[in-house]
Amino acid sequence: MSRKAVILGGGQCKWGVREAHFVDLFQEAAKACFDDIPGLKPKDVDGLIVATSYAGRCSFQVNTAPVIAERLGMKPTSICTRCDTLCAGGSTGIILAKGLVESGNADIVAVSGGEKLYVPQKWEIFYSELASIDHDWDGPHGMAARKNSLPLFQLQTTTTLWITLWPRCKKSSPWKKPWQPLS
Amino acid sequence: MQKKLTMEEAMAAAVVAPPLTLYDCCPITDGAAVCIITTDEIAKKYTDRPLVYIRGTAQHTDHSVTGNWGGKHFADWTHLRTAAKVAYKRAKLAPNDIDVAQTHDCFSISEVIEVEELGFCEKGEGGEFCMSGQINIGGKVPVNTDGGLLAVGHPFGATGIRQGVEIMKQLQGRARHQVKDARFGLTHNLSGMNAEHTILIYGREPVKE
Repeated sequence: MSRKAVILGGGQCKWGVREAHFVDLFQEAAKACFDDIPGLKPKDVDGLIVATSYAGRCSFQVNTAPVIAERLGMKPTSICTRCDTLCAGGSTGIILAKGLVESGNADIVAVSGGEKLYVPQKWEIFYSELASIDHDWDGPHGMAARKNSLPLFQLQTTTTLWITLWPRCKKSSPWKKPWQPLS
Repeated sequence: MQKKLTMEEAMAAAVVAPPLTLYDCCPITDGAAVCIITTDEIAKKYTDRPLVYIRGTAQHTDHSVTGNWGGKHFADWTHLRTAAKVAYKRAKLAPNDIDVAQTHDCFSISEVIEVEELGFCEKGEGGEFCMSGQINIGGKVPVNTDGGLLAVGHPFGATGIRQGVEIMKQLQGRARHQVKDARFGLTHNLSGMNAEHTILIYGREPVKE
């Protein structure tokens, strides 16, 4: 008899504008999920798929799967990876988990997904949206970019760089002539 | 959305892109969701609730550059039609069999086009289908029974899981807004600049071989 994939249980954290780190959101959601399946413990899970698209831009965290596994108390042995198809990331994770459990390459897979999108600078998330379209073609034509967000980004980046680097340029020798090899 | 909203407030809200107002567009949201996928044999050890099988899935893209759009016009989503066809075939079901659906209503117009392309009504009749209450509980196909993206928000990676968990609860008969005797459910996601469509079909029983 062939193996058939089922969805055993699930849960989510409180959604909205949250004063929380993105890992906190995953922990809250996992707590709700394991509360939904009383017999199951994080250590019983042998696979973890993390669906997140903006952790790299908004939370400065890439390679999210091991981070989430650690914080959820999981030690996966079959799969531990991140998947990203933007708005469909969670659904893609479920499709991948189905394939893994039906083929016998995993037994119990936790599919998680989440984002911390509110950042102190609101323009930043609208600017980041530019990365979710075909950047090289549609981006220059103005699709999904907020008006004036590109010059604003450039101005802020340049200003921040100058403020950060100027004192170092003035006093430390490696910064004064960065092209020379350090002695 | 955690406060009550009247129709007048929604219609009088700031215009984002005519005719869509603020409340026609899903809000940027922080959030996360987790679900557990396993096999039916293992699941029986952990739960005595009815099992919810993943019957058929499909993911389809036919362009990423908007200039290569395949439809005759921007309301003609050929790639969603293809994805739906594949998913229904794998699940051995027809649009008429679906009892409850979670569609990707990132904008209110998306839901109108999606119910057409998913085969719940004829092309061009989506607006009438939605307005006449066919997508409400008790209608032909209740859609977005937990509120959908417009109401609960849209943290990108979490949305597909939130939809899956809602369908699971519907098919197990323990949803907050329960559809009576739901046996088959569908979830749909749209990614990027309408570049890719993902469909999952869940059921109370597996596909017969």
